[in-house]
Amino acid sequence: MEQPPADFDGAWKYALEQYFAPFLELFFPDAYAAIDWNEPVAFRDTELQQIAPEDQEGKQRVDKLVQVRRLDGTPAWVFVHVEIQSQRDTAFAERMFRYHARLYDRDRVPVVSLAVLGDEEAGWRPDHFGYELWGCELALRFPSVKLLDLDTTWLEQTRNPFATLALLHRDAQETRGKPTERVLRKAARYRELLRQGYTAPDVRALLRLMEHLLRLDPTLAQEARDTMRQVELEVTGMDTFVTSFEEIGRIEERQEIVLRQLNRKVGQLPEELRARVAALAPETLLTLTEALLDFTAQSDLVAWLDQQDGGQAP
Amino acid sequence: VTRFVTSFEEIGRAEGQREIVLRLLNRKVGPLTDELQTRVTALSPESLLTLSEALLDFTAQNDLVAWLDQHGSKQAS
Repeated sequence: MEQPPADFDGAWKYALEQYFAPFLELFFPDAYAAIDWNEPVAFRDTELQQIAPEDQEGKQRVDKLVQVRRLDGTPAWVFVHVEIQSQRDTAFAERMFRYHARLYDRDRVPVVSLAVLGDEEAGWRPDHFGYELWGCELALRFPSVKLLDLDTTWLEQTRNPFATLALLHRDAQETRGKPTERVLRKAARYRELLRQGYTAPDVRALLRLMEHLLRLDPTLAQEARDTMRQVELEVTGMDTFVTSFEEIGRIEERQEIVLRQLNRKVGQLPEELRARVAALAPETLLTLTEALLDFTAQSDLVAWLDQQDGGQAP
Repeated sequence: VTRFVTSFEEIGRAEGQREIVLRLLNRKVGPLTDELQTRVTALSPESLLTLSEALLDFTAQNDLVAWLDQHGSKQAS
């Protein structure tokens, strides 16, 4: 069976939104050290759309525009460009310059453009854009990190979600078309991840990244899940994470079915009723699936919900 | 926001579906025979979702059998 392609774009977008500070800390420490992390960091997706309207999704690249405050209180823009595939020409550096210039022109605030090169061609290292003509010179130099250069041992020893992401990114490239090896690699990474002492939310986020980068056909995916459950039992003595994901899926499905059935039984629910149903505890939802068999009107649902809310007597 | 689900959640969803559909079938048309239970469990997630709505109109096991026959789940012979 065919190996599904890794979702590099989705993984990087998700990780940058979840872990922007660790991203800078690991890859661009100068920027990290100059930013006031007590101030909110804002992802400017709307402005990004305005600045880069020609860019579409699913192009093996991720752009993120982030507004930060420096330690001296002044604002700055951080423009992150992640490129999954190498490009022969100067298109990438030129694109970085154009976005940089558009943003500066808009706000006249310092812009820091950063590049992550996630490709597999050792020689591709764009680091500037510029030209000189008749004594007039233009230059943009930007810092970049080449994932291929990063030392695997260092990444494995570093407790930072982006160290794990960089490893998974390389794993996905190295095990492309080698599904059996990918299953082994996935289990080994999961073992390291659990041993590294991440918080529970971090483990869950990293597990999501792993699932999106090290994708497998359904049969091997099942094999990998069984192995990962085993690994979790061995390392932590429990299978909390794996089980909690299954539980999330189970509850989402419960909600979806109940809402579909209610729509069919008593007509389209107003938003307020939908929200009340969605807020029910998983066990209550299960009771509702049976109760709704006897509903004939929305008032039946309202009465049932009121009763659940502690029987507010009239 | 991108939905960023794991295959673990998909497995959970499939289990959640089977759980509800079997529970409601039981309630609507009485306890299922082993054979019917097997046929329902073997349905794809899409078919199970369709069945979760269709069963609201069932009144007897015949309705379920007819629905299964119509939806490509042939009786094991």
